[in-house]
Amino acid sequence: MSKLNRYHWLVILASVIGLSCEQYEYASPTPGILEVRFAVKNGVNANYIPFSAFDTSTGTQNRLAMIMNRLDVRQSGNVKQEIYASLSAIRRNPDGDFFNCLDVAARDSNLFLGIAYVPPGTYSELVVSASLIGPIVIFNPWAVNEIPINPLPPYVGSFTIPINATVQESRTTVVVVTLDLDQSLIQRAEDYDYRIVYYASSVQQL
Amino acid sequence: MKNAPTRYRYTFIASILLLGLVLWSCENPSSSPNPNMLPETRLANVPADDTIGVYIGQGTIPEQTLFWVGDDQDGFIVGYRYRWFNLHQQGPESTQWNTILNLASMSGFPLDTLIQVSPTAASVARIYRYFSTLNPDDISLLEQLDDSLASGHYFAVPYPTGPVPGDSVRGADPIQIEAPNKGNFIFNSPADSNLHRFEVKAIDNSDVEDPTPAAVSFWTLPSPGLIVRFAGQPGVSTAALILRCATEKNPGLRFTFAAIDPSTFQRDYSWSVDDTLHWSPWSRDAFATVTAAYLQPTGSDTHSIYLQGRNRWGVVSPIVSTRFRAQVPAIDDPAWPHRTLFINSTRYTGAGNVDSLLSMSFYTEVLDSCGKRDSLDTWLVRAGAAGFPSRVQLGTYTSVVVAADVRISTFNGAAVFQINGDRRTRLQDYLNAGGKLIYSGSPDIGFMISGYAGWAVNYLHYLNAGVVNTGLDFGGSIGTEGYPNIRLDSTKVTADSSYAIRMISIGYPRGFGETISLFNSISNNPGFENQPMGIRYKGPFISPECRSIYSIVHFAFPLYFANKSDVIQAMKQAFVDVNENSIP
Repeated sequence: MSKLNRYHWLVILASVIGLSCEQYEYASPTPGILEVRFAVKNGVNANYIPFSAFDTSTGTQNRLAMIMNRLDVRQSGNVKQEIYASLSAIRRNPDGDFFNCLDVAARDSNLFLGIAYVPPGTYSELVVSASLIGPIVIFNPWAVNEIPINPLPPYVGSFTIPINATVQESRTTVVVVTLDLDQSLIQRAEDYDYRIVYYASSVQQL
Repeated sequence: MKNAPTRYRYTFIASILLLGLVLWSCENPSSSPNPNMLPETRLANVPADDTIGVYIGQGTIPEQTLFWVGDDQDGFIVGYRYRWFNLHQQGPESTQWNTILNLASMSGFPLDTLIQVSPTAASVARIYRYFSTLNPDDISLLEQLDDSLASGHYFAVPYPTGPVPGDSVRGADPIQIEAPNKGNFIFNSPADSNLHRFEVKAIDNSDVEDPTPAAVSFWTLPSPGLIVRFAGQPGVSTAALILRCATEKNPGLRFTFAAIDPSTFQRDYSWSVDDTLHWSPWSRDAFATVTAAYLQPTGSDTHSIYLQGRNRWGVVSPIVSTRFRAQVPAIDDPAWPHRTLFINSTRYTGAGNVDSLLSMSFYTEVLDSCGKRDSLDTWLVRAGAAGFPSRVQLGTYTSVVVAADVRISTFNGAAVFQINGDRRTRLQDYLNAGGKLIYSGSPDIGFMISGYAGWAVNYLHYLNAGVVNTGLDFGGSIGTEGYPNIRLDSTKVTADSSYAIRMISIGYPRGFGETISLFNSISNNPGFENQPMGIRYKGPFISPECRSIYSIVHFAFPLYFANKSDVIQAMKQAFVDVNENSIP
């Protein structure tokens, strides 16, 4: 029997390594899309702070500004995914993004907060870091009316909203977050106090 | 030279000896461990110990800073317990043992307030281990703990395995305890000579206390006192209307305090109304806001407020007092019945003006139609202070209707009594006390109400005083927000005046003011046609027990000259808006 040469040893070694490997199947699904829209509920206070569309002739629009600094969705285990202004965005505006809560688009759940590719799965929470910027500005046919707003302590800048939204591969899930102005605003003699109340008003798969 | 076997033999023997030495030097695990050595505590002895001579020489004050040190030869100190006795002539008084953890930070996270351990804690060492071994990267938990400590309230130590009964902590008073081994204490010193004894003992990591606490005895001088006074208070020329519940428009009567306190420059105040039994809690606030809830029956509108101060050393000042005048409007009682007062400001001075009796008749009929027949009183304004309802009289009516209607084409100031001076102040006080006002308006309202520019903004909730249409141009109003169109009465506004009224203003709403009517211009003047004029302001509701903020409806023109059926409908809506009626 002839001695094993170097070539034989290499073949034997490769065979041993090859046989000892186990074949795994790695799941790498196509991402889904999560889109977050914004709605504002304003029934009780509508007399004083109505929604309005942008008036192109006067360049005016009723205004209650909200500045949003961060928006992300979370799964159990604190797995989170940030949501930006577009699918190609890599971050939010460092100064935050402004939204007008009295825009008719907000009344119609059509104000666009953000969109992102996310791994398929169930998302339990949406976290919004936002604050309202006063005063409320109302343009009526005759004059501009301003109503100050004052936050009630303690200050809260970040809100966790339960959503229970499922995102599927290559599908778009739309979550509508509603700011309930009726619940948030407390009328005082000359101004409003506020404590922001958000909730997810709908989750829809397109 | 030795041969090799011999050398190996010696090496072998040396190894055996070395091994035996090592084994012999090892502790026998079966024997009992050395006993824990007791911790020791020492005071840095500030102030000087116990001699009356030193006490007099140093002029020792009731506030003393003490330092202490603890040692443990076989471990470390996890906390200190301290207490003191005030040895008064009447007998000793002692504080309970206070326990401070020997920690200035939580895993490097600086503490805003040091950690005071509850007397019920079973193990100080266990609590020490928890706070000293927290994950320095868990900033959220560290901040949460720091905030909880700063609240000053006891909370259970959040061990990962769950709370242990008795193990709770809170933040120590940061002024009193600056470091785990430093305290700044105030020793009660009411007498001419005050002897105190301070004791402190260390606790080691086996939860063993120093059995012989370090102690120091010392004297303090009597605490110098302070003098308080009222720095500001409401005037007493008239009795103010105040409510049981403070509102934004009627926050109560405000008194401000001041003190002369050369010793500590830090004082608390306590106050009481109408007796010296019901004192407020001590507070740093140098003011008091007195609502009707504090008033006691005195048989008049004159009341007294008493004030005392307490300085940092616990010395209480002599009581001072001052008087003030206040009345509680009857309408502050939620059970008070709804009644309406109609105030007719029209003068009855003969030809050329509105006959005030006719005006009275007109409004009485209108208000009767609004369901006020059995709950209506009327008042014809006259000259002089008694010619207008007093604050107390106004405060018995849940709603007030004011009319100042004059003949339009020959208007002059003599036709009505102005809402000016004390009349305006009384009406304002009534509103601030939660009154409801329906004002029919009048031509040239800027003249009719003195200081109207501010009144229109602050009370009526117009954006500004508005713009007056000086021409004979107002032909009625177009209703909004549930109000009807109001036509003019052609039997009162005749062809002589072109069926129109002059000197009517338009005005834009401010804040929660709402436009209730638009100007109907006879000449279709674009500056006035369909411009807002009347306004309503509905004050927010607070609670069933409290009087709400006032409400106002301002029609902005004299209703006397309008079609009566229109006025009745408008007036019904106004009573609904001021929350006086559930009709129409």
